Amino acid sequence: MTGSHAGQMVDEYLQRLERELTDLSPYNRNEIIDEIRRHIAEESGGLPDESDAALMNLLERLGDPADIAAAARGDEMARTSVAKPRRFGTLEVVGLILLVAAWPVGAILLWVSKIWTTREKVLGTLIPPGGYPGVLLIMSTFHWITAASEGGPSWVGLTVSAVLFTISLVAMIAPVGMIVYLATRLRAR
Amino acid sequence: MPIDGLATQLRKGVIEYCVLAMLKEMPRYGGEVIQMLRARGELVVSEGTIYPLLSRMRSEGLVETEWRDTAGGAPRRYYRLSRSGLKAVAQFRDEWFRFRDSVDNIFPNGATQ
Repeated sequence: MTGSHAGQMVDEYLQRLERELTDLSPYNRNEIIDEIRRHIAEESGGLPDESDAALMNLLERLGDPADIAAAARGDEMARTSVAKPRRFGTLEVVGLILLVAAWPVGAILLWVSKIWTTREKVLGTLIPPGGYPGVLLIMSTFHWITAASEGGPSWVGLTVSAVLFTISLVAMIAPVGMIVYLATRLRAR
Repeated sequence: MPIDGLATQLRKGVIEYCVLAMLKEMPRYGGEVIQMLRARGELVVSEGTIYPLLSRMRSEGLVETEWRDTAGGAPRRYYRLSRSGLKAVAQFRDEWFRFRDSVDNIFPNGATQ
């Protein structure tokens, strides 16, 4: 297909399509036009030279640009209505803050939100259990353990201190890490 | 509702899942999807409408795209089913066969009724 008339037919078709698609977002418009241009180029590659009838048939099968535009508009509307409930809002932001500050409330908000997957919700609830209030609770029991280990040999005391220090460190960092993780999952949506 | 309007409505509801089901087998490019639809009956009237559909499915995360070179030709955009696309196909399949059976029960003699 190298005939100038055939080329003109394709150009006219694509121009009409472009006009029909003007109210679409530029990204979608360009993607659809690009794909249809490639489609025509590839399909018409096998047609004999100057075969206007075959090319006409190809364009007819593709359909009226107005029909393609109507489908695209319908799809864009469907896309907006589907995308909306998935967008995060105040609920998610407050949920993340409360997950560390006031764990039970934060955890409830985490489960109420429809944005995160069940796996993310389980992780967010369990790591660390109880947010910072939980961490403080765990750490407050440490001095009992330290006191209990004081009677034994010095290496026991040292080991216990080192283990407790590591647990404290992890427990302090884990909530922040989890919030960052959940926030990135939010942005990925 | 005029009868051709009915056919359009019916197609509209299922075409997306038919395309997803085809992509479940293997990644395909738009022209290939259209050829398959054409070979499988009257599922699509204006073949060009498959491209807005693919574009929407990509932005909804049902499919992912990648460019592949072709021997001697322009590169093609291939569409591959994502995990959520896979889930959508499975949901549709369950729903469809239940739905089809219900309708078939109402037309027990099939097309001759």
